[in-house]
Amino acid sequence: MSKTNFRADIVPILFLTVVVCISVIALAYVDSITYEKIETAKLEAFKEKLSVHFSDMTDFTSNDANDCYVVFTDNNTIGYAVKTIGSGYGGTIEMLVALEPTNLSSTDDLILRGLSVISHSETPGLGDKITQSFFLDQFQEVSFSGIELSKTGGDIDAISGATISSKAVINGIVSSIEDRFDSLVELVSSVEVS
Amino acid sequence: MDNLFSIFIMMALVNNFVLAKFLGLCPFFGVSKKLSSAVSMGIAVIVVMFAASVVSWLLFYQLLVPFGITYMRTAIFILVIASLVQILEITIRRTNVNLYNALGIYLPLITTNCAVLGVTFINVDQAFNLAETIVSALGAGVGFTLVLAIMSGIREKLDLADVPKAFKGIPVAFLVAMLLGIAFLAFGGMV
Amino acid sequence: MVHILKNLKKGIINENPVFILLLGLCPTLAVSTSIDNAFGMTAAVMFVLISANIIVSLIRGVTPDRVRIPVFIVIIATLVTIVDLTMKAFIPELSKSLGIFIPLIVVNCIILGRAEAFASKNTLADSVADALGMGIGFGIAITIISFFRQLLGTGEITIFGTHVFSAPGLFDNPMSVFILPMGAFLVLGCLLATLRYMGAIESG
Repeated sequence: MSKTNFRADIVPILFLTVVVCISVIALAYVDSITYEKIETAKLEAFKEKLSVHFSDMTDFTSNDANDCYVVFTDNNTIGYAVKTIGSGYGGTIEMLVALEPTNLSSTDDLILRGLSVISHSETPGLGDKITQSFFLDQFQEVSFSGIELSKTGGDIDAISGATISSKAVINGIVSSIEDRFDSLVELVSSVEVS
Repeated sequence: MDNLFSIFIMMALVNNFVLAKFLGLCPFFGVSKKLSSAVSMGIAVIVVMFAASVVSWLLFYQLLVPFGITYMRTAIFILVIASLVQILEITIRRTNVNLYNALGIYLPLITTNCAVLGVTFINVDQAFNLAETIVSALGAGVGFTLVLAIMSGIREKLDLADVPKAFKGIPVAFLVAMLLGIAFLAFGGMV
Repeated sequence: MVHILKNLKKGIINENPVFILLLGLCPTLAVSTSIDNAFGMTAAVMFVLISANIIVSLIRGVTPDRVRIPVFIVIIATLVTIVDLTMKAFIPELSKSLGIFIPLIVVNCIILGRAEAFASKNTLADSVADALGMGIGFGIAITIISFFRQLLGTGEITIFGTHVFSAPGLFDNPMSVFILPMGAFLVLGCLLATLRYMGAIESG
């Protein structure tokens, strides 16, 4: 291999390496500035979602999996919240269910205080009506057993033209709360002990 | 198993990449004039989507997450796709000339096909495991190929139809895509 | 100076990336459901397009030809990630509704196409003018499409939460199909045909 060939091979590789290094350094710098902002923005957005249901909330605590919450006003428990996941028309629907501070011997005791949608990818104009208050308000002061479509004897009216999305919300709430009920009980009891 | 099947249907039909998610539109309008080329392009996309999804999934969870450098995601994924396409092109050229003649010219186009990069992002965003990732990549690729083939079949016939002058070519192709999209809405009830 | 103006005009009219070159269709159709989205997407694309053209034009003398494309891809991916992180940090709402289409700017044909076809061969001033023109052209196209889709699909126009006007009759019975994905195909198809009918662009 002649000297010129060697040069022709090595220079492009070196150049690309230098470009990649500069890119990594630039991104690491941008990440270091924005990381905290992104996390705070997420936390703020979540606090806002919680305070819609618990207007006098001062603080909240969550479990390690970050899907169950206990909400306080000056160290008094004023309610619980559970993150629920439904599988909708366009993908997963992430919701937050606010619960009254009832006793927690079984899921039948639960009373919903309200519901909000954290994220979804339902069809604009149809399925995304699940984020509008006429639908969400139906979930206020409903017992857990009433979380079913009115067609099948429950308390919730489906959105016309978006039955799949409405069903996804309901199925998501029911299955997620059943799954996470034990973690919620554990979190609540650990809070009461401390 | 049930879950894997519903992911496949979701990616291939309900949330079809071209008609519902608007991914891969450039090849959709560019390569859909002839059925044979549409099928070749589709197969090339399925292969690259599969390989890119597996490699980028492994890199994301074995390298980016442990080292806390998930912000390198975009750069790494696009480089993975670009190198995979290059490797595939060289391998096919050296092993099978006929296959190369059929698929070769479509391979470079795939690097800038947002459907491929899109599926790698979706797999990570939806926190799919490796099996789900593989199924979702195959579903996305099959859905893309299906729509591309249907579209090219329609456009072959459309060439013979009497279309108003202003609508000839691309504008009427958009309208056909709209009707296809409405037809695919019907799959919504399946999942 | 004339030269620069010509490059600027080229991107907006003669070679409009969306209407004439049919490039970057994916984000154009996908996020054009509201004018807010259109502005957000345009800003992100403009930033990446202009910065990429500046950098590529500056290093055009030293870039080895064989690694040209990978170098461009790394530069563009870096810029896109910067935009992505910045939007997530400062305007989380908008970043959420643009979703996956922000990182996907990296494979937007407009950007790699301009870097490769124009900035790697031209001076800094020309490259910036070219990027500005292309960016504005993209912005105009996506804003027009968003305007029609939002107006017909929801019956009202709002820009960043400010209500501009609502169409009587439409507001109570909006034509949701325009907000659905197929509405985007319908609007762009009809717009292209109208532009051709008026002779603004040539029939193909």
